[in-house]
Amino acid sequence: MKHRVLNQEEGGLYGTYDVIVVGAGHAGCEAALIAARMGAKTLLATMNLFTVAQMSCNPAIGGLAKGHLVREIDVLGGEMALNTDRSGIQFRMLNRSKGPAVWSPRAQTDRMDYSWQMKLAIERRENLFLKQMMVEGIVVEDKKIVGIRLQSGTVIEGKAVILTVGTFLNGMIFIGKTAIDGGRAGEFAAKGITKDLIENGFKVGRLKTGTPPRIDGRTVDFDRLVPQYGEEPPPAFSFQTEKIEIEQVPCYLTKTTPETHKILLGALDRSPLYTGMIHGVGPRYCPSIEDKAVRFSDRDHHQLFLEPEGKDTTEIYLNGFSSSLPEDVQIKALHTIPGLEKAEVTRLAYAIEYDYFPTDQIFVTLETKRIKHLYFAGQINGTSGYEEAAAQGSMAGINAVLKLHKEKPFILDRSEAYIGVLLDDLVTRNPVEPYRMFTSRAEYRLLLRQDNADLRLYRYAERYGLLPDKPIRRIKTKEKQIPELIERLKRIKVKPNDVAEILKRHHSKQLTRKESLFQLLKRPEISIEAIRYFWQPLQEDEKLQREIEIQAETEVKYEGYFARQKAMIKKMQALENQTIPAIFDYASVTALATESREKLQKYRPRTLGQASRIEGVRAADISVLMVFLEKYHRKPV
Amino acid sequence: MNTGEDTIIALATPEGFGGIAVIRLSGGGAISEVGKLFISPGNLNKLPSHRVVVGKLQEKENGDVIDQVVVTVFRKPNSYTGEDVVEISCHGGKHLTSLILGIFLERGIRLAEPGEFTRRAFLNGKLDLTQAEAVADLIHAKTTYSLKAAARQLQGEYSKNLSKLRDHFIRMLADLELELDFAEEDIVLKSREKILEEIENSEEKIKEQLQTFRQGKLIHDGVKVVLTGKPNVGKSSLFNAILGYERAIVDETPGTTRDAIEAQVDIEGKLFRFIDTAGLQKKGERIEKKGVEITQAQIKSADLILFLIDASTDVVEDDLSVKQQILKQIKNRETEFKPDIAVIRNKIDIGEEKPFSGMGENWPVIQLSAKTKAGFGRLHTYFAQYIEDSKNSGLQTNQIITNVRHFNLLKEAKKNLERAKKTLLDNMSNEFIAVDMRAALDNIGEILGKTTTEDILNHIFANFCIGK
Ligand SMILES: Nc1nc2c(ncn2[C@@H]2O[C@H](COP(=O)(O)OP(=O)(O)OP(=O)(O)O)[C@@H](O)[C@H]2O)c(=O)[nH]1
Ligand SMILES: [Mg+2]
Repeated sequence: MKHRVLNQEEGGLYGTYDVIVVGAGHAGCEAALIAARMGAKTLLATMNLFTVAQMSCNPAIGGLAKGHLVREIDVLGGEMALNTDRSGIQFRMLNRSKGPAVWSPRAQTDRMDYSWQMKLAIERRENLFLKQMMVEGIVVEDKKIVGIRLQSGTVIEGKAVILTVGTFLNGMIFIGKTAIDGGRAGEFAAKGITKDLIENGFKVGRLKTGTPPRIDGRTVDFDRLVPQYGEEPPPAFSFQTEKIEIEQVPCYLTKTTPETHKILLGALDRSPLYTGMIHGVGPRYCPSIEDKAVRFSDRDHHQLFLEPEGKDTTEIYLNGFSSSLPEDVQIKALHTIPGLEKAEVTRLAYAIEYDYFPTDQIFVTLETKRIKHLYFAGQINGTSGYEEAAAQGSMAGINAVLKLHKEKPFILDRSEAYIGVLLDDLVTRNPVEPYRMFTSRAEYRLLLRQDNADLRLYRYAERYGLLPDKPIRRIKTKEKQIPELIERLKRIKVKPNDVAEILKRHHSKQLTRKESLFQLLKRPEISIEAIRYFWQPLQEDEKLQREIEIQAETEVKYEGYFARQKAMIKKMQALENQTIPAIFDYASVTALATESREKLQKYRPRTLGQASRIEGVRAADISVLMVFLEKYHRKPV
Repeated sequence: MNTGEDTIIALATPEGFGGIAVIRLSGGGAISEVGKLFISPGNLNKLPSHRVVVGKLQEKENGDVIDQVVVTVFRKPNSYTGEDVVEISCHGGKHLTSLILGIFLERGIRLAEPGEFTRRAFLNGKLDLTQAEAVADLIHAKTTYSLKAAARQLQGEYSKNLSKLRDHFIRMLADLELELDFAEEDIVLKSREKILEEIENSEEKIKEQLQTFRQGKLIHDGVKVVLTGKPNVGKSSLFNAILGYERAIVDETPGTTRDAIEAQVDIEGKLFRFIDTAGLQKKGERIEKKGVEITQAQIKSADLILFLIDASTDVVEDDLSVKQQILKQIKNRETEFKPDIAVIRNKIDIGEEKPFSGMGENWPVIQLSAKTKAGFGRLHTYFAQYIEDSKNSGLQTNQIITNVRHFNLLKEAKKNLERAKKTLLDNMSNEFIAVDMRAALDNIGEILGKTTTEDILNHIFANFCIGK
C-alpha cells in the first residue's frame, strides 16, 4: 500500500479534523452539517465549490416515499427540507386522495438557488470547513482510517472519513458510442479512491443511471402544452418553516408520439445500452425513453414533464426523456414531440456508469466492516435519489461522531422510520439495481407517516443535540396535547339536535341518541374540521393547533388499523432486540443450513431480526442462532 | 419467526401410530387455554404441578365433547421447557389428533416450530450449555425432516394451485401498490370493482384448496354416510341391503330403530361408514327424544347424508320437517366443510310412479327399492363417483402436522382476504387493503417460502411502464 506516513508539516498545514466528508452532494452536505452541529471539527472536501448540493438529475425534492425521508431528515436536524423551503418554486402534496400514510410532499426547486443556499448554510455552520480539493485516496493504518490523500500528495488527517462520492468513482459518461470520463457532464471523475478501497480488500460493482436533456424554454411552444400548478398555500417541507411565500411556477405536460418511438427504435444499434458498451445495471423504475419504447411497444405515447430549472434561467428539464442515444437521434426524436418541434437542446441526455460497493461491506451505521471509522453514504452504497443519499449522509454523520465519542450507535428500527427501512434493506440485501425508496418497502407504513415524523423521531434529535430547543419544545407540546384532545373528544357528548345541521351538511346519518364526538369522528365523512366548533382550542398557536387536530383525527379514524400494525411490531420486537455479537463465528455452527451460514457470514446481521430478513435464511436457522446466542451469553468469558 | 413469549402446541408422539397420542402445549397460556375446553371435577387452573386428571375435551366452550382425555399439568419452572406445560393424552388416530390440534390453533395458539420445545427448554436453562450443539442439531434435523415431509406434500395439483394463488396475490398487491407508489405515472389503474372481484376469486380458490383437505381426510378416515328420514321410510332396510346382511332390525311399526348403528363397508377399495339412525319426527308427537338427539348429532358430523323419502306416497309434512332438521344441523356445524346430501326415493316397487319435483333443493335424487334392490346400480355409481372425486385430492400425505399447519395457514389467509374485502367495501384507501393482502400473502409464503416486497416490485416493473 502506498500511503505516506503523516509528517508534522502536513499535520501543520491543515491540522486534524474529527470528521472529513469527501463529496459535497446531498449525502455529503448532510453528513458534514450534522457532524459539525454535534461539535465535531469537520472538513467538507469537494472538487468544485460551484456544485455544492448539485441536483444531477431533476430539479425536484421529495415525491412518494422520498418525501417521507426528507421529513425524517428534517427532524434529525438535517438541512434538506429547510433548503427546499428556501429554494422551492412549486410545492405539492402527492396522493392527497389516499390515506394519510401515503401522502408525500414534493417540490420543484430552483437548481442554482438550491445549491447556493446549501452552500450558505454550510458556510454559516460553526466547526465546518468547506474546501475545494481533489481527493485521490484514503489513508489507512491498522485497519483504521487516518485521513485522506489529495491529488497533490498532501495528506489530511481525519479521525473519521465519510465517502459521499456519488457517481464520481470511475464515472463514465455515454452519449451514443461516445464514452467520456466524468462524474457528471462537464465534471471530472474521481479515480484513486476505488483503487485504494480495492487494495484494502473491498469488492466493487458497477451501476448505471441516466438523465434527460435540458432544453431552451424560449424554443418551446407552451400554448400546446398542459400546465400543472402547485398547491396554494404551498405545503412546506420543514417542521420549522412557518410559511412559504413564493410565487409558484407551473410545470408542463406533453407526450411522445409514434413518430418519436420510430426514431428511437431505429437507432438502437447506436445505443451504448443495447450494444453492450454499458455493463452496469440501471434502475428499472427509471428506464431510458428508448427502453420504454422497446419494452412497451404497444403504447403509442409516453408522458413527459417539462420542469423549470429555476427562476432565473430559460433552461427546462425534460423529465421522462432520459437517454443515452447519440446527439442526432436525441434531437430528431425531440422534434416529434408536441410543443417541442423547434426545441433547442442546451444539454444532451446521457447515461453514466459508476462504481459502487456492495452493502454487505458496511454495518447498519454505514461504517465499513473492513476499515474502522470509514463510512459510506449515498450512491457509493448503490442507492439512487437525493433523499436516499441525504438520509444516509445524516446517519453516517451522526454515527461517525458518536463513535468518536465512544457512544452507542444511532440505529433506527424499521418500525420507527423510513430511514430505518432504508438502512436495514441495505445491510440485508446487496442492491442489484440502484435502490430507491417506496412506501411499499415499509411494512409498518400506516404508522410511518410524513405528518408524524416529528413525533416519531424528535427524541433522538434531543438526545444527540441535533435540533435547537425551540422546535423540540414545540413538538413536545404537540405530543402532550394530542391525547388530551382525544380525551376531550371522548368526553364531549352531543345530543342529536346539536349536530343535526352538521350531519345533514356532510350527508351523514342523524343521531338517535347522545353520542361522543369521538364516535362521530370515526365516521369517514365527518372530519375534525366539521366538529371543531364543540371545543376550545388547546393552543394559541394556530398552526400548532391545526397539527394537533390532524394527529388526533388520524389516530381516531384509523385506530383499529394502527393497533394491528402496532401488534405486528410487538411481535417482531423480541427478535429486533436480540443483538448478535460482531465477532460471532457462524462457521462453527454446523446446524445452520449451508446457504444460511454463508449468507450470515457475509452480511453479519446486527440482530436476529435483521438475520431473519436476509434472503435464504430460514426460520429454523434463527432458532439455531437463538440457542447459540444463549450459549454465548451464558458462557463465562 | 417467533421468539418464545407465546403459547405453542404440537403432537408429542409419533404420527399415526399406537392407541394413544400425546399433544403438548407450552407457554403462559397453556393451562388456562386447555382449562377452558376441559371438563373435569376440579379446576385445571388450580391443579398442582405434575398432577393427572381425566376429563372430557370440548370443541369449544360449552360445545360438543370430542373425546375423553387425560390431562397432565406441569407448572413452571418445573417442566420440560421451564414454562407452564400441559399434556393431553387422547385416543390416537390422525383424525382426532388433527381435530384437537386444529381446535387450539383456531384459538390463537401457535403450532410449534421444529425443535421449539427443546429450544425453549434450553433458553430457559433447563438444559446445560454443553447441550447447545445437540439442541441445534435437533432443530436442524427436525426441520430437515419436516421440510422433506412438506416437499412430499407440495407436489402435484396442490402445489401448483398454491403457486397460482401466490402469483394471484402478488398481482393484486402490485395493483394496489401501483396506485400508491406510482400515483404520478401515466398508467391505467384497475377499478375497485375489478379488485373486489379478484379478492372474491381468490377467496373461492382458497375455499377449493381447503376442500382438498376434506378429501384427504375422507381418504384417511373413510366417508361417514348417515341414513335419515321419517320413521318407517325404510332406512334400516336400505342399510341392511347395502351391507348385504341383516344388521338392523326391520319392522313395519314406525320407530323400530332407537339408536345409531354403524357398519363399515369397502366400496371399490374405499372405506365407507354407514350409520342407520332413528327416524326423525315432528316435535310434540310421540317421540323418542333421546333417539332423535343422537340422529341429529350424527347428521351434524356426516360427510354424506342420505335423506330417505317414500316414493309410494306424496311428500308429506313429516318429510319437510326432516328436511328442516337436516338444514338446521348442517348450519350449526363448526367445520369448514358442508356435507353432501342425496335424496333417496325408496319403495319404488310399490304402486304407480308418483310425480316428484325434488325437495326444493339442488340435491341429487336416487330412486330405488331396498326390497327389490332396483336402482342399486345407480346407488353404487353414486358412491363410486364420490370416491372418484376425493381421489382427485392432491393431499395424499399422512403427515398430520403439515396437514394441520397448511390447513390453518390457508384458513388464516382466507380470514385476511375477508378483512381486505371489508376494508375495500368500506371505501378505504389501498394502503389499508394492502395490510391484509400482505398478511394473506405471508400465510401462503409460510407454506411455499418467503415472498418479499421485491417480488411485488418485480411484478410492477415487469408489467407496467414505470418511470418518468
Ligand atoms: N315394498 C317395500 N317395502 C319396504 C321397502 N323398504 C322398506 N320397506 C318396508 O317398510 C317397513 C319399514 O322398514 P324399516 O326399514 O324398518 O324402516 P325404518 O325407516 O328403518 O323405520 P324406523 O326405524 O322405524 O324409523 C318394513 O315393513 C319394510 O319391509 C321397499 O323398498 N319396498
Ligand atoms: Mg329402522
